[in-house]
Amino acid sequence: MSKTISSNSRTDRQLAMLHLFEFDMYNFDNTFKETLYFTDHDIFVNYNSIEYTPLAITFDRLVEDFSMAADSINVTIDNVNSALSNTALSTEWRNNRALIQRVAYTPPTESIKDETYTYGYGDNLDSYPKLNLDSITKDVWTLFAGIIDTFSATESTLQGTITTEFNNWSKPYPTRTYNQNEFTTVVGAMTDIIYWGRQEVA
Amino acid sequence: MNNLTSVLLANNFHHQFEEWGKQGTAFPFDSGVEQRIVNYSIPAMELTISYRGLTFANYETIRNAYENNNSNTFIVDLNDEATDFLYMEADYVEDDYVSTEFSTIDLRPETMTLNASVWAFKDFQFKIDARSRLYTGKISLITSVFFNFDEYQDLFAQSSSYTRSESSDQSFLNVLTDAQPYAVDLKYVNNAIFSNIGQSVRHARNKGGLKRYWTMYWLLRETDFLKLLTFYRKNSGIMGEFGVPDYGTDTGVSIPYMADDYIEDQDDYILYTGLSSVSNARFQQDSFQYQKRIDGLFLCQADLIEVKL
Repeated sequence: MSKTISSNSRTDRQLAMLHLFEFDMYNFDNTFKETLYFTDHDIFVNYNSIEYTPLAITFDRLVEDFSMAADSINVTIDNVNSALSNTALSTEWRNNRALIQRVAYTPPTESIKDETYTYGYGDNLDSYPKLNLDSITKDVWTLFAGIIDTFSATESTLQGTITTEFNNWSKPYPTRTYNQNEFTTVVGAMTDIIYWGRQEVA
Repeated sequence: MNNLTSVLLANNFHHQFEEWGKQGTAFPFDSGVEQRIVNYSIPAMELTISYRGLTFANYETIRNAYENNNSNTFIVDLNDEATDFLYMEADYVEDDYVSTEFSTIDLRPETMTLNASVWAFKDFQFKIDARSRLYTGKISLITSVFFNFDEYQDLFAQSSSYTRSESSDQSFLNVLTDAQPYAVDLKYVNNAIFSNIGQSVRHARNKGGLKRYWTMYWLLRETDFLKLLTFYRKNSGIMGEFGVPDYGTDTGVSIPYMADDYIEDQDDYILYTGLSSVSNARFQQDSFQYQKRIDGLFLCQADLIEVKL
């Protein structure tokens, strides 16, 4: 698990970002049922041959205290079609694996009617629109890995709390998760040559 | 998926677009260099189509399209030529119309697949006044990642429903026969839930409960105003329900045109559609406002909302 941002830092320093979410679901008899794959991107995302479904999904900023440990974050998921609350009530979310990954990638170029757009939208537009991460330049790193603690659902949203596993609580922050303030507070103290804790690769 | 191209692109005279690009965040370093992060990569577009001089039949076609598709997505292909241009009032120049050749605006039918130009209703507002007896109004459509593909439609299934609450009550009609509005606004209260990703409106869930909403405007002599005021006081608030008519067909009664502070012509009517189209409704709470003018006429307005039976 590294935090390499190299080729994705384009010369004009623009990159695109999306997040991938995985939630394991178990039946009430404790047998594994399925893993739910979501993304906060606008269209379907394919990564490692897995299709991530686009949903309005957000999560709180990670906050770490002076012990440099991040204990839990809250995730809010769109529930407008009620599919999630139905799943949540018919399966066991709690104490199951949850994973949030951040993907920094170079938006693929796209040609439409002889015009080339440097930052395209996706591919396979004529089958159904999706972004295939397997074939484009990207960096993927784990933002948060833990277990689902509690959830609550309303008509429009489903909220869950994801907690790091107890045996990870005392681990120092940098080895497990990363501060989302990295672009401002950390980088602000650096030059444009050294950022994100690494030297820029031209 | 329904194709509303011919319905919505007929009889219109103006298209207003608003387009959102990719959204994200830019962080300036101390050196002044910016790191830009794109979070939302799909453009979104809002289109407001304006109509002028519609007959009731023209209006009814658009209204039916709205009522039947208020919470689902539908196809509007801007590349299709509309064959029926707008109605021209005498005040306007003859070539005052919008060509509907938009081949460079919505590229989806060319770059994705035929009928990929999928939209959803955002707003619906019309007005009829006694001067012209014609409908003026506009509808707003939004589009982004409404894709006409099974993968999306299956996951985000959408539907629309609307059944008008009919009424046989004539008490308000009797009042309107004397206290006749000079204009009526017609819109809807939509109960659907929309969800977003970035700028993209992704999914609408039909909760039912689409309601018609009228705003009526009056300029009345005191005797007629007092009838209206009495009716309001008897039926205001949540307890009163009565029949409210639709306006604009060629048969029926009601509504003189008033101008220059006097009643110009009692025969100058907006006509309502008769008892068969009376909807069950009530006053929107605390919505009745009136002014007494120095000439003794009363200027007033009220909001009425359909009540589901």
